[in-house]
Amino acid sequence: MRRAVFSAQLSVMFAALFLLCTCAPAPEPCTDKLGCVDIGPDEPLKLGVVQALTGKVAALGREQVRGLELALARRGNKVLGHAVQLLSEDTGCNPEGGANAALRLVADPKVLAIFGTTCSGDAATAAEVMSKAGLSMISGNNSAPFLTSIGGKRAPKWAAGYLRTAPNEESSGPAAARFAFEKLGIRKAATINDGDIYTRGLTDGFRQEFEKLGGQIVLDATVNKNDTDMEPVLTSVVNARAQLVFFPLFQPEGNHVLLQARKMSPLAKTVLMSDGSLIEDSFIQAVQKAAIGMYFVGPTPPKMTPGLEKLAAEYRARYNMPAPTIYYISAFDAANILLAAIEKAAVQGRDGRLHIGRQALRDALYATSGHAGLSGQLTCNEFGDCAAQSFNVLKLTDPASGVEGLKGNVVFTYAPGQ
Amino acid sequence: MKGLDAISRRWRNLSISVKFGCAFSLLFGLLALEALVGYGALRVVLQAESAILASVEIRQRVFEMDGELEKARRLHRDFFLRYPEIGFAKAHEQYFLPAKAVIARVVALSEDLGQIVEASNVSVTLRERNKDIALYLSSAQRFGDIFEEIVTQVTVMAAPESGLLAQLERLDDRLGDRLRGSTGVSLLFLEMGRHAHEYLITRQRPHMQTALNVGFNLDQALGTAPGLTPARREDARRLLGEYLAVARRIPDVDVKIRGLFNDFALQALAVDPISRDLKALAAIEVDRARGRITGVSRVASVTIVATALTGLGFALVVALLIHATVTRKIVALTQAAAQLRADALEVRPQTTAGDEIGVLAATFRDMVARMQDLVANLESKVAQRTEELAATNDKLEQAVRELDEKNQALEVLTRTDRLTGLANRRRLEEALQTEVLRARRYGKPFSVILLDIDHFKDVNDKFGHQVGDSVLIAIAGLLTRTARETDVAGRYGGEEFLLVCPETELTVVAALAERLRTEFTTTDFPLVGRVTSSFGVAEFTRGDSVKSLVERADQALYRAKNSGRNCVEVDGENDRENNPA
Repeated sequence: MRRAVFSAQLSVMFAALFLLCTCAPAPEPCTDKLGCVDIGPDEPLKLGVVQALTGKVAALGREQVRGLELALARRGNKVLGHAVQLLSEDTGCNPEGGANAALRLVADPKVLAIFGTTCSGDAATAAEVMSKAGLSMISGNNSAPFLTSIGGKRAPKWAAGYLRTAPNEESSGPAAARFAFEKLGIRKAATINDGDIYTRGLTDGFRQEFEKLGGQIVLDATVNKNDTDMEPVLTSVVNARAQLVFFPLFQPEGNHVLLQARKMSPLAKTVLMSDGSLIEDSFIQAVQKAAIGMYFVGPTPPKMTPGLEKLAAEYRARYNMPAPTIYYISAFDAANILLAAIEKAAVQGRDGRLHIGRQALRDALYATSGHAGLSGQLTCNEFGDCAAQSFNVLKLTDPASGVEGLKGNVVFTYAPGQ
Repeated sequence: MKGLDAISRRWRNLSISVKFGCAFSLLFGLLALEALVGYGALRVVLQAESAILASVEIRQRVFEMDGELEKARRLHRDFFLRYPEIGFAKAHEQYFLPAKAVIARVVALSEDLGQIVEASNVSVTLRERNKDIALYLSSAQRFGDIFEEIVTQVTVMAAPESGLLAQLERLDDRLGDRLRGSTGVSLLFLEMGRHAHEYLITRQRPHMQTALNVGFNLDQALGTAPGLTPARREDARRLLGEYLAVARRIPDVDVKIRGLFNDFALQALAVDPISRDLKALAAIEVDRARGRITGVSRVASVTIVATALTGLGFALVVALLIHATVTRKIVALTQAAAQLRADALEVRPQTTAGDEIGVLAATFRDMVARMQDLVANLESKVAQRTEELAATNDKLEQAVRELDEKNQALEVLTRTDRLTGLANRRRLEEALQTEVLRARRYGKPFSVILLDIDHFKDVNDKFGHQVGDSVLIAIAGLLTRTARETDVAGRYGGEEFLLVCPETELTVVAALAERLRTEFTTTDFPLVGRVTSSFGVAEFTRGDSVKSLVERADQALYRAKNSGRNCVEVDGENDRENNPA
């Protein structure tokens, strides 16, 4: 009997030692072909944010971040019980910035997806990096056709896992071209881009549609970002005898083009048209009367609904200011699509960890259908476009009425397929 | 105090195996604790050592990686510095290809580094830097890609003969040749070239755009310029068109190259802090591991010494307890046993414990008491038993004596004729056999007398057997009285008697027989009166046996009977009478 007690004591001792040496349970295997992100019970869910946070378009980048913040705020800043950690990277709104920002994020295996970018040029390089790494990325601002599809086919910069809620501006250039050709009777037009795929995409779209309609592109010029002297390129416009200049440039290059064009008497009758990148209060404030008579082509803004009013109120409450643009709305929708896809793809493991397959997340994103976004009903197609294409041509008549006045002065709407 | 007493009492009442079990369990526990502490300390030291080695290796790899990346950057820089001087092909060979090889090494090194960090047991902070290493790796790969792209773009821009700049220069020369002699257009040509040159110096696109605008004006001017043949004008316009096309491309390629260089700058911004931090973290890791080794060694030393001392003290306590509760009692019991062996029956071991030794001591005490009782009773019992034995012995001796007597009587009875008290026939035959053997061995003479009462049947018939028996008894008496001490007289059968006379010659025996005959004839037997007997005498001769000797005596007796009885016949007397010498 005593021997048996002694043996039991020894057994208990060795069992305790064994238990001390026992390791934690093995992690559950990942079967996703692109790999999984495992999130421990107390770990945050990491999202990369790649936006233009400095430079001339920082305001647009900030609007994107705010759209994401508003979407997270509605969820208590948690997804599936995990706090969301945003890892922000600045692209400076240039392609190399996008690539390097994406490289920094994909180096962290815990980063689940990327929210970005602001500029399409960044998006092309960033999407290429993140796609190779198996991540997903969604933007509420990129609109360059090169990123998703052109003419119902994959565009040159298409990347698997990249989606956007901003409308493909494949129809933006055509909208401007149709308006110029059909409504204004323009037959000779000049285009000025800044070499970026966004502006080049727009001018290419304009050229193709305009030429298709029977017009002639007499000048296809490029300026560099940060150029201030626009007189040479405007002289080329004069030399080309263009009746219209389509220059979808950002600030301040767009400002310089406008202001210097107004000083050139040969261009007094030349129609000036830009795009949504200049539909901003800051632009109107900067150029004032010089912009009178200028046209802008931009996405048709969402209709004001109670949901949108509520979001606008949340924006004002959170940031103590009204939203300067409408692009936070598409950012809000993009964030919600991403978060919903994460919730759909996530699997709660028996070990208390959250397992999210990267391919599963992509599949969930591409499977988004009929999402009731505040910018409209969103259904993502195989190319990553989730928003319907509808563009307005606006004419600025009263700078004092600001951007809202401009948005209200719709002179043409082009919505193919609707 | 009460508690201690209770514990002490409880301890005393525990069995020895439990006491030993408790003591050795505690000792084992201490040993196990010490072993665990030692093992744990060793493990920590090994881990720390491994972390140090890993950190040193990491730092070495980072230095190596950083050095290689720096080398790649130098090669990259030298490529652009030297290619205008040594030419594109040579710069490609001397700088671009080595740079690519170096980048490949950086990539391999960063991959190794990532694996080392992943597999090593360095701190979480350093392990978390694996993502930075991944970034380093991807940046290095991108460096290689971008470098290649830059070289491509630079080749497009500056390659001898085929590059845009070379084309521009060549077209500029040719266009200048074509326009030579035409002042107005030459001025425009020079202005265009100046703006293009300004662009190439400043890389400001408006200059090139201005050059393009002047080129447009030049093209316009060529249409009306005097002094140019139509062919020359046409050739000049073609060359101008080519010039403007090349000039239009140059800013685009420049933008691309600038973007690619900007990419380099961004990579450097991302990568440089990584290597710097990794080196710092590796150094911190080494210091931390060293500190951990020192700390653990100190704690382990103190713990091991403390547990060793505790174990030693505890071993002493256990030894004392075992001595007090086991050994001392066993010694006391052993001494008590030794005293007991020395007949000290009053010894009593004083052990009160409730263990097996206590039980043994109690048993020992009972046993000694029992032995004392037994020893005390033993003497009286021995005396009693001795007395009983002596009495028994006396009885036995008496019985032996009686038995001897009875045996002797029986012996007498078995060798004596019951009626006459003489030797019986068996005794006579023994005596005859003895004397025959003696005569044969020593050659001594001996003789026998055989006598038979004459007409004894008439006595029995006339006077009855009882009177006959009294006659026999009387004759036996006569024989006994007459015979010598060495002679054996016995009843040979019925009314025959035999007298064995050792060492007696025949003549002596014949005389003795005669004297007996005479005695008989002179003896008055009650009731019967006179009774005679016939005698046959024979002497042992060589070759005789008992039988032959007695037969010869019997023959002599027969002759005496035949001679009228009451006479003595001697064996061999007839032969001497018939054959006188």
